[in-house]
Amino acid sequence: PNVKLVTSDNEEFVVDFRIAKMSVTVSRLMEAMNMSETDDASLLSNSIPLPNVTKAVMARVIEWCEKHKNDEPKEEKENDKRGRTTHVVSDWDKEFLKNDEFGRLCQLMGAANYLEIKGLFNDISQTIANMIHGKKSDEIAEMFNIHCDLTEAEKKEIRKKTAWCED
Amino acid sequence: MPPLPKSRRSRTRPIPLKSEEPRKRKPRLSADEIPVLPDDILRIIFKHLSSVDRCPLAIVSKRIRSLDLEIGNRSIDAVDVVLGEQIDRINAFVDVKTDREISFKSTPNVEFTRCYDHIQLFFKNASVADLDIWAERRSDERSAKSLTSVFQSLLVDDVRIYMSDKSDFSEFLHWILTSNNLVPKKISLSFKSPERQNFTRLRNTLRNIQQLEAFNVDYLVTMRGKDKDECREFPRRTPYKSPLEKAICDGSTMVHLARNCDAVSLGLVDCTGQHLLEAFQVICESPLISKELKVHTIESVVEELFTLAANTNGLRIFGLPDRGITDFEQSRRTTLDVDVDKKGGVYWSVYIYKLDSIKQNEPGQST
Repeated sequence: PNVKLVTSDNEEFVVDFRIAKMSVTVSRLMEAMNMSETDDASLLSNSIPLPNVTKAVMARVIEWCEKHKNDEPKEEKENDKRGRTTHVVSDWDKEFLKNDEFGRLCQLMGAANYLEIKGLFNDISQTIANMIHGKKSDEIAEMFNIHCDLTEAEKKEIRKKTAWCED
Repeated sequence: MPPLPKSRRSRTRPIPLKSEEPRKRKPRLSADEIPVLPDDILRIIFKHLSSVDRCPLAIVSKRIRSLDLEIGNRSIDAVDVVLGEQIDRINAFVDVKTDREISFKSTPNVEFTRCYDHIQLFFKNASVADLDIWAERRSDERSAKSLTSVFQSLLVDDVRIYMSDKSDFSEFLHWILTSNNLVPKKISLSFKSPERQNFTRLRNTLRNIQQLEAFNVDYLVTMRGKDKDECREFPRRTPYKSPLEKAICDGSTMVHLARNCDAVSLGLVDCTGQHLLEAFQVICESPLISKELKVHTIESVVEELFTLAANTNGLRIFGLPDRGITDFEQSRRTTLDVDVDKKGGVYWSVYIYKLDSIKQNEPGQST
């Protein structure tokens, strides 16, 4: 059975029921609209509106879900020994996200968050963390498109107080 | 080779051939199009980062800085605290390998939290492998309080406190032992000239110890030089004026520690032979497969111990106390060795131990 998903720019995606179920948000909406796997009429007559996701991003999300639809549900380790959250990004996922620039990763992450697709969300957050690795503060600011609202004096004070240098 | 200036570098880049297929690339998003990630998502991302990678976040922007501090949970290899005559210092070695170190300085009469508005957040839920505290000055109650508020929710494996003759750290130790968050696996106390210590308070504090892998007391000749053997006071060649005046632990504290810690070393102990026998029995009866207690004492206590042992059923005594080494056993696995220091020391060392002896249990042997 197939489910129709409609993006913010009015693009309709027809996906397998199993794929639609990978999103907790979509699952909930289907339940609310009394759509069930065994009731074809309910699936045909309804479509799920997703006003927070654009066509381009939705295509990427579906591509990821297609690949992972047969995955066993896995338990994420909350924290490693040293209090850090760790998530292993599989080779396929690395390749999948490799060419996305930061802004697009953020869009995709926003969609994964809104759709509640945990695996994709974890993949992207780990990928972004890997991008931050080894970067200096101004490089991080540029990456996130953040304007630094700390004055030079404040920065100097923080550096002095915490006595580390950036290089 | 020094890096080329930018202009030259760009000229040396190979020019793509016209026939080459242009790389498939989506149009770059302009800065305005980069979505602003909400705080909760940023928190999740930052939690993936190591403490070293999080260092630059402090000066990216006010929002990023406060998020980074809010997360806490830093992992820190080691924290050194020095409470000196002139200056107080906390050094956090975020990463020993790369020498990444963050330090906080203050003067003895000003609390750290008053100098650094973010210091509590910096150490919030941080996990620290080693916490070393060097207390070099008199009257450390204020410093103990100051540190207590800084390290409210620290997770520490190994705590070592070095105390000069002027410092009294029983307050801080009491807090360490009673704090719910800070549950160290090992505690070491090193004293230089411990006669200034308030022993009654310290012993009361030590009797609060519930469960530790190791508890260690050292007597140091010099404060700095923790890795050098020669700076330790034991074996001592001359006795103290009153032989047990510098004993930090008394007999009942020793028995309590023997019961609650897996490995205990206490230096000089003001105890009786009866206390030592009791400690020996505690170790015998412990369900643990390895456990030990090391103390120093005086000859009359050793004599009393052997008289008592001779009159106790089930004990076997080897050798004579005045010949140097005497062992006796109750169970097959626990031993008590008494030894007058061969290096010319005047105190006697008592070593009670139970070692993992699974290999010795041959099949068919009755238990």
